[in-house]
Amino acid sequence: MLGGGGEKSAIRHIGGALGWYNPDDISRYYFTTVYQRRGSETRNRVSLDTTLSTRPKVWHHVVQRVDGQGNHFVWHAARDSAGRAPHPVDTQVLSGFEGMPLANELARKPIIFGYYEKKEATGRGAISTDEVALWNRALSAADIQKLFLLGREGHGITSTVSLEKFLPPPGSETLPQLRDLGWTSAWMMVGGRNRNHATLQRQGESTAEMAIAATGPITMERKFPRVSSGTLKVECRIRPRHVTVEVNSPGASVMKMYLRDSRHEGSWAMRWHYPWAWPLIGGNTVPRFYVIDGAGNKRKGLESTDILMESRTWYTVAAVLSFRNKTWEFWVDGKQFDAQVNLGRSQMKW
Amino acid sequence: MTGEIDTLRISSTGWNWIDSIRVYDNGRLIAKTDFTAVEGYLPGHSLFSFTTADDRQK
Repeated sequence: MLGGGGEKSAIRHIGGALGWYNPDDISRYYFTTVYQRRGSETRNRVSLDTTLSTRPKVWHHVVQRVDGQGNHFVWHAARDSAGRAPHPVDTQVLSGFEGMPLANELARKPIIFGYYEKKEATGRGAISTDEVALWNRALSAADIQKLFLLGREGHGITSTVSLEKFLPPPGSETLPQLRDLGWTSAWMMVGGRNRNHATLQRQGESTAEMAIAATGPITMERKFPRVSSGTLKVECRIRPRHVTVEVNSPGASVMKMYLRDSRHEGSWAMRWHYPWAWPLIGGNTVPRFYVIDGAGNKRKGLESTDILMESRTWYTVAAVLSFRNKTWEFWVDGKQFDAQVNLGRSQMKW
Repeated sequence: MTGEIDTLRISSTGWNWIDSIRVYDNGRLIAKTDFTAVEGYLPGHSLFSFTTADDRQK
């Protein structure tokens, strides 16, 4: 349901919907979903409050999507936007989501498309709608992209025309801005020759929607809000494709993680990497830690753990730095590796 | 070492997958990425193709 925050409403419906609309003003929108909570007969009506980057007199494409897990999305793009848009602009998770028959809700209230509500201050509030449709399934990102491209080129949603000619040349498209939590920079390539050695790929070997496939030598960097006291924990979900103890094996999966102060070059607080273990220490494929001081000198911390890393296996690895004690910990899959217990020696300070 | 940290660097060779990254300050989540469409990521694109709102204002 797409409506205006007490000022203007555009399209109202019960489930997910897709359509083009053309507002005469910019407003804040509420996307409302009616659903039942599991084990309850009570209807829940929740709103996803979002501001769309709409421009008056420009057709916009909006999709509200609620999937079977209660993930409530809004996708949006202007008709004149370049590239393969639309992109998701907001989301929320509906607690205990359980769908209910559309007919039941229709019996209570009709679906209204193109709702008009006068905006007192300006006299505006009119909106035009076109190509509105409902689906009884959650549309995929590819579905939404296809429908946007068809509509942008003047084809109906049931058109079977090929999309190839609608797609922009590679590299010419405008991508959505990142809105992942908290980072203070975009991803920067600081090493490697091919930026495509770090690409986003769907599922497949990922545990979630997408993952970075680092397929060749690449070094990437990103900044987060500065941390200077207490503890800093950095956690990654990673999966090596080919772990080997063969030193310098050309196909070996090797990953290194560093933490540093961007204002001081060479001020590495920590570096760990996997694998590879030297055969001299048992031949295990293990993560190794180094601690590097501000002068660029490398001091060995924990030389190695005895954690066996396996190919094609997901690991959640975390490094925890204590600013007070200048110590650090290493965690794998939620368990702290205790160097004293496992290796008979304590971890080095940084 | 300055005692302040604000940068994560990841270096990879061979083939590795990275599915999520989280940064905690005293147990409080201050930055995270799950590489989802909601966060602005699109499949098939280089990680370095994406910008943030701050980047576009520069």
